[in-house]
Amino acid sequence: MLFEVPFILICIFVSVFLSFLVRKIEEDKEIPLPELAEKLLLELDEVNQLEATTRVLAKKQWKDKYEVYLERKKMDLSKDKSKINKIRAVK
Amino acid sequence: MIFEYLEFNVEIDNLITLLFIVSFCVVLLRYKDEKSLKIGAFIYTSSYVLSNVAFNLLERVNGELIAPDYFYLQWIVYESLTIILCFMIHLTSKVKHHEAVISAYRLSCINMFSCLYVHYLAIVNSTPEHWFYSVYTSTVNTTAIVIALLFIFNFKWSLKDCFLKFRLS
Repeated sequence: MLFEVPFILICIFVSVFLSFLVRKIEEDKEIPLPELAEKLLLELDEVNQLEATTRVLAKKQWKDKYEVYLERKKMDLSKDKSKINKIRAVK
Repeated sequence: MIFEYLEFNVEIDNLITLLFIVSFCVVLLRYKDEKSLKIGAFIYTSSYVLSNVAFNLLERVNGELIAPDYFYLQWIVYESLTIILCFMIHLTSKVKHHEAVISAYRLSCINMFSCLYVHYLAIVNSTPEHWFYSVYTSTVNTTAIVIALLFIFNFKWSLKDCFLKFRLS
């Protein structure tokens, strides 16, 4: 029991922490889209100034980030569309 | 005294497991766009099915528990692993948590605390009878049923919304 009970207490602590701070963790993770776009542009500028050998890998990583940005933008647009449909339905 | 209800609980556990399987099927068929709800329903269903299978096949020999001292602690580990796994999948697949999944996490936490208190009463203190034993049985089963219903009915209200609606009505 000397090992099990502290382990269980840690499990409980982690679970309670996650269940009550899920929304906060998600909000912190999501930077607003315009801010993210600005950050990506600055990063791209930095990547373009790198040496050819390191640039390839850096550009690949940047492209992954850009894809995440595009996905988020798509989701935002679809949300807006569903809002318009709802307004039409109310009319 | 608490182990006297074991057989009755096994039957309820089977029913709850069945309810979770039904909830997963409902989520899969009715709420195709709710990614988070699908993940939550899948993780909770597999957790309840696996723990039920483990309980029936691995933990009992001739109807008796192999390690009764760790009986309640292992339920806490199951609940905790379910929450952590579900959270990690949401995090890695960049899916925002559905309100029903967050409520399921919180209900699991209530389960964990009641399991911990029963472990203290039944195993550490060896209390033969206590009012909390019946509360524990009903709490654990009710929370499991409520979690399954949250998934089935695609419950979207947060705790804050519920309080607001209650205050406005």
